[in-house]
Amino acid sequence: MTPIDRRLVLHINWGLLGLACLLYIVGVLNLYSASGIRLEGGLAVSAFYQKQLVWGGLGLGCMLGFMLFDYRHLKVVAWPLYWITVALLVYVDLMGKIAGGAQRWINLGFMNFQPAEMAKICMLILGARVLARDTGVLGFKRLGYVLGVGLLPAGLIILQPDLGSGLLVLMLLGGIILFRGVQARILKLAAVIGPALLPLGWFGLHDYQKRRILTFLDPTNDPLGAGYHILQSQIAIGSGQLTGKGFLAGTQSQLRFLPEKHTDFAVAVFGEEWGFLGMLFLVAVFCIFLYQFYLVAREAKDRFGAFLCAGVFFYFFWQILINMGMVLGLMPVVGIPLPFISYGGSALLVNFCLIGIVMNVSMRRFVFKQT
Amino acid sequence: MTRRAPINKKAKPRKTERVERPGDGRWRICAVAVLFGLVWLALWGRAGYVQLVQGEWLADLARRQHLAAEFERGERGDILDRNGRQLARTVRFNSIYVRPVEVENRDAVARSLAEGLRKSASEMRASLNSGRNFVWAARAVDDRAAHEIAEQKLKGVYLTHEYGRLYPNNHLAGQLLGFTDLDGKGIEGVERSRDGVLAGGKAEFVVQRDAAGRRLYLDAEGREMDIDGRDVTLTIDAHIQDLAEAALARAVEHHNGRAGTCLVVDVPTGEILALANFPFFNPNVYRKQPVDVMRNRAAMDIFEPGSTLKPFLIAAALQEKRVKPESRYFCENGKWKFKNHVINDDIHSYGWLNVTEILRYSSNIGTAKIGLDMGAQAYSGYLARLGFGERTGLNLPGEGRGLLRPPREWRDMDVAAISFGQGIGVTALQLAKAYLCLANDGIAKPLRLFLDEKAPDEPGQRVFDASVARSVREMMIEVVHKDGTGVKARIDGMLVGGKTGTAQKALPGGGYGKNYLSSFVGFFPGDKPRYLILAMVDDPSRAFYGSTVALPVVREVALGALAYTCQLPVKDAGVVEQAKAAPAVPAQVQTAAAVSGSHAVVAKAGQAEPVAEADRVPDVRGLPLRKAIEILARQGVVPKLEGRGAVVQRQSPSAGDPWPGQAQPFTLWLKGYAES
Repeated sequence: MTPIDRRLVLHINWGLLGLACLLYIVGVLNLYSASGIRLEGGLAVSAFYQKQLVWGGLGLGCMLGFMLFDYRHLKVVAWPLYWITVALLVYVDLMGKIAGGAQRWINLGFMNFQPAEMAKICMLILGARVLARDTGVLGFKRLGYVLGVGLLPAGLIILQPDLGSGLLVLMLLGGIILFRGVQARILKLAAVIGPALLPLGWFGLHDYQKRRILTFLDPTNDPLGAGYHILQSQIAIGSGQLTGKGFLAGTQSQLRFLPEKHTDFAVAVFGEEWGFLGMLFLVAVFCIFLYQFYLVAREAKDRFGAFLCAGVFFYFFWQILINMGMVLGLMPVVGIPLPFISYGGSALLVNFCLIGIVMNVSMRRFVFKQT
Repeated sequence: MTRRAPINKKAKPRKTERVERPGDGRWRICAVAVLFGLVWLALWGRAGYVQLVQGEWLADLARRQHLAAEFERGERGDILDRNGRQLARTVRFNSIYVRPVEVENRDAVARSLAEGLRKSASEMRASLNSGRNFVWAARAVDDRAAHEIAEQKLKGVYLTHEYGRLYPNNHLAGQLLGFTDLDGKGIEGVERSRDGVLAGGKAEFVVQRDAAGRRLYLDAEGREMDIDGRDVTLTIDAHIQDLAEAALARAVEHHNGRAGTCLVVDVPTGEILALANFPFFNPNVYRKQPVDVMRNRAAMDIFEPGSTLKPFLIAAALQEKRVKPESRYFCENGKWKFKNHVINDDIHSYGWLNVTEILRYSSNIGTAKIGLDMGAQAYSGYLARLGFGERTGLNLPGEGRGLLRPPREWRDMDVAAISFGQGIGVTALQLAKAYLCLANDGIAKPLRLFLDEKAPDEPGQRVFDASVARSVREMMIEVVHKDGTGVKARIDGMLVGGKTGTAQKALPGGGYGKNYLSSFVGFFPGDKPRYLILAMVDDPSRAFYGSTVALPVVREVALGALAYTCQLPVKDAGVVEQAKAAPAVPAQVQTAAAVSGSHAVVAKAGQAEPVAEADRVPDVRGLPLRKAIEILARQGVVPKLEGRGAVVQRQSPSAGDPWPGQAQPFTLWLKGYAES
C-alpha cells in the first residue's frame, strides 16, 4: 500500500465529499422530524436519527478506509470477496428456511450484518474488474459470462426474499455494462426480448408485489390497503405546496398517516415540510452529486477506476429514480430506500464505502503519471 | 456537460480497439445526458405537479383527515324555585355505541354487550351486522353497566356521554317550565324564554386526529372556558305551586271542566308564587302528550273575564268621582232593554242598589249604568293603565296581548258590556296584574317570575288613589263577608276579599252559548293583602257559578299557603278564648299552621272540624297513639308515655276529668305495658 502523501491529500475530491456530507446532514435532520410522533404532550421523537448519526460516523470511517489504499488493489480481492459473499448469502437463505421466514441478516452480536449490502460492494468491484479486463466489444459470450456472475448473488438475494436489493445489484452491474458499451445488436435484441419477457416476470412476482403494481396503475381501487401508501404519500408531498409546512410541522408524518415515514417514504416528509422549493433543492443536490461521479469516471486513469465510478453512479441513480418515482407516484411501490434520506444503517454504511471508492479513484487520477 | 467527451475508453465502438470515434462517443454520451436530464425533469415536474397544481386539493385532503372540529357544549343551567328546589336540571348519562367495522369478532362482542346491558344477544348481533357504520348499543346506561363494558375494552365499542333534561317534580309547573329538544335547546316555556341564560355556551375546538383516530387536544386553553349555562331562579314556590295544582285538579275534575288555571301572587312584591294549569303537562315525556296540554293557559289563553272585571270599573268611577260608594242606581229589576239589547242580571233581580251593593251582588245592569255614566274614553284609559291589552312583560312564549279595542270604536253597547266584563279579552296574568294594583293601594306593579332579575327600583305608576283602592277592597270584602256572591270564601279569623266571575263564553259564530268560564279572585288577608289568588275553570259542566266552581280552589290554596307561612288564624274565637283561659295551652297552638308542613294537614285544619269537649279531658283509649297525641296537642298537652305499642290502653287523668294543670302529668299507657 502506498502511504498517503501530500499530493494525494491535495487531490481529495472535496466537492463530492461535501455533497455527501450535505445529503447526510439533510437526511439526519429530516429523520429527526420523520421519526417524531405527535402526542397529547407534544412531540415524541424516537431514536432513529441518533442511530443514523452513529452509522454515518461509522460510514465516514469506512469511507476513509476505502481511500487509504490504491483502488487497483481491489482487483486482487474481487474474486475471493465474491465467493465469500455468495457463501454468506447461501447461509442466510438456508437460515431463513430454517427460521421459517425471511432472513436477511447475520447477527454479529453488536450489529446485524446484511450480506446483501456486502454483495453490492463486491459486485461493483468484480463487475468493474471483469468488464475492464478485455477491451474488445462486449459480445454475447462475454455478456453472458458477466451476467451469470451477477445473477448468482442477485438470485440468492431475491430468494431471501429481498427483491429491491437483488435488483439493485443487477442494476449496478447493468450500469457498468451500459457504460462500457455493448454490441448494437445486443441492444436491439434486448429492446425486443425485454418487453417480451415482462409478462413472464409477472408470474414470478409475489402476490403482494402484483398488488402493488396493480394499485400503482389505479391507486383508488384500494385506498385503505395497498393504495394507502401511494395516496398518503401524495397527500404528504402535495400538502407541502410551494413553501412547505415548516420543519417539524409535518402533520401527515407526525400523525402517522404516512406509512414507512422514516424509511422508504422519508422524502415525502421532506416534501411536506419544505415544499416544492425543498424538493427542487434536494433533487438538484442529487443531480450535482451524481454529476460528480460522472466527472470522476471521465477523468479516471484506467478503465477499472472509470467502471467503478460508473457502477456507483448507477447504484445511486437507480435508487434515487425508483424511490423518488415511487414517492411521487410515478412508479409502483418498491422497497428501495433513498440514499442518505431514508433510515437504514447498513445502507448508509455501504453508501459511504462506495463514495470512498470513488474518492479513491478521484484522488489517484494523477498518480499514474508519476509512476 | 460533455464537450470533451472522449477522454477515456468508455466509448467503445465495435471491432477496432482503442479507436476513438469522437462523433459516436459524443452521440452516446449526449443521448445518456439527455435521458438523464429527462429523468430529472420528470422528477422535478412531477414534484411541481403534485405540490403546486394538486397542492391545494391535497392540502385540503390532509386537513380533512387530520383535523376535526369538535364541539363542546356547556351544561344547561337548572331552573330553581324560590327556595332553591330544582324544577329542571340537566343530567349526564352514559351511552354506548359501536362502530361495527372495527369489531373483530362480532358474535363475541354482541354476546358480551348483551350480557352487560341485559339485552338480547341476537338483537345485538343483528344490529352489529346491519351494515351501518354507527350503532347505538344502549343509551342512558347506568354508571355501573357502562363501567363494566368499558373495563372489557372491546374493540370498536365506545362510551360517550349525553345530556338530558330532567324535571324531578314531573308535571309540577310543567307548562310554565316548558321543555327542551334533544339538543338541549329550549322549545317552550321558561326553557325557551330564558334559553339565553340557561343554555351552555358552545366551544369549538379544532382537534388533530392521528391515523389511528386518536384525538389530540393540542390547544388546551380553549377547553377551560366557562361555557356552562346559568341557573334561573323563579319566584315560584314549589310547595304553593303543588297546593294550587292539587286544588285546581280537584275542582276541574269534580266539575268536569275542560281546563283550569290558578295563580298565586305575593302582593307586596308582585312575585308569582304559583302558576298552575290543568290538565297537567309532564315535560319529561313531552312527546307523549297532546299538544294542547303544553299550553301555558295562564299566559296564552284570552278570555272574556266577566264579573271579575267589575271592581276596576267601580274603582275607575270612584277615582273619576263619578260615583260614591253610596251612590244609588236602579237595576231595572233584572232586565234592562238598552239599544236593541237586553241586559240581564243572573239569579236575582234588583231594584235600587248602591255602588257597593252593585259589586256585592254583581249586577250587570248596575255596572253597565256606571260605565255609561263614565264614558268610553275615561274607562278605557284605566283599563289600559291596569295593563289590559298589552303583555305583562314576563316574556313567556306565546303570551297573549288580550283584546282591548281603542275607545273610539266603542259603541254605547260596548261600554255597557265591557263594564261587566264582556267584549274585552284578557289573560289570567293580565287579570292578576290588575288585581295586584288594587291590592297594592292603587299602584300598578309588574308581575315578577324571575327572582334573579332585579326588581324595578321606581315605584309603579299610580292608577288609583290609595283611598279608592281601599274602598273597592272593602266592597270586595263585603262580597265575601256579607251576603254577596263570595260568602263561601270566608276563613275564620281573617278578612277575605274577593270577586266571583261567571262569564258566558262567546260562541265562535257570535253570541253567547251555554258554556261558562267560572272564576274567582281573592286576596288574603282582606285588610292587608298578602296573597292574591286567582282561579279559573273553563267549561265546567256540573255547576258553573264562579262561587261554586272556582271559589273553593282559591280558598283551599289560601288556607294551604297561609298555613305554610304560619299566618293562618286560630279557627274560631271560641278556641282562642279557650286557649287564653287555659294557661296550659302553649302559645304556638294559636296558629294551627305551626304544626303543619304539608297542605293536607292544613286543609283538614281549615275545615271546621269540631273539637271535642274543649273543657274536659277527652277519651283517647283505644285510639292509635298518633291520633291521641294529635288530639292532646291541640290542647297544648304533651303526654308522658309508658310502655311500648301503638295503641293507647289507659289514660290518666281519665276521660271527662277537667284538664290538669301544667305541673300535673298526663300519662298514656300503651298496649304491651306489663303492670308490675
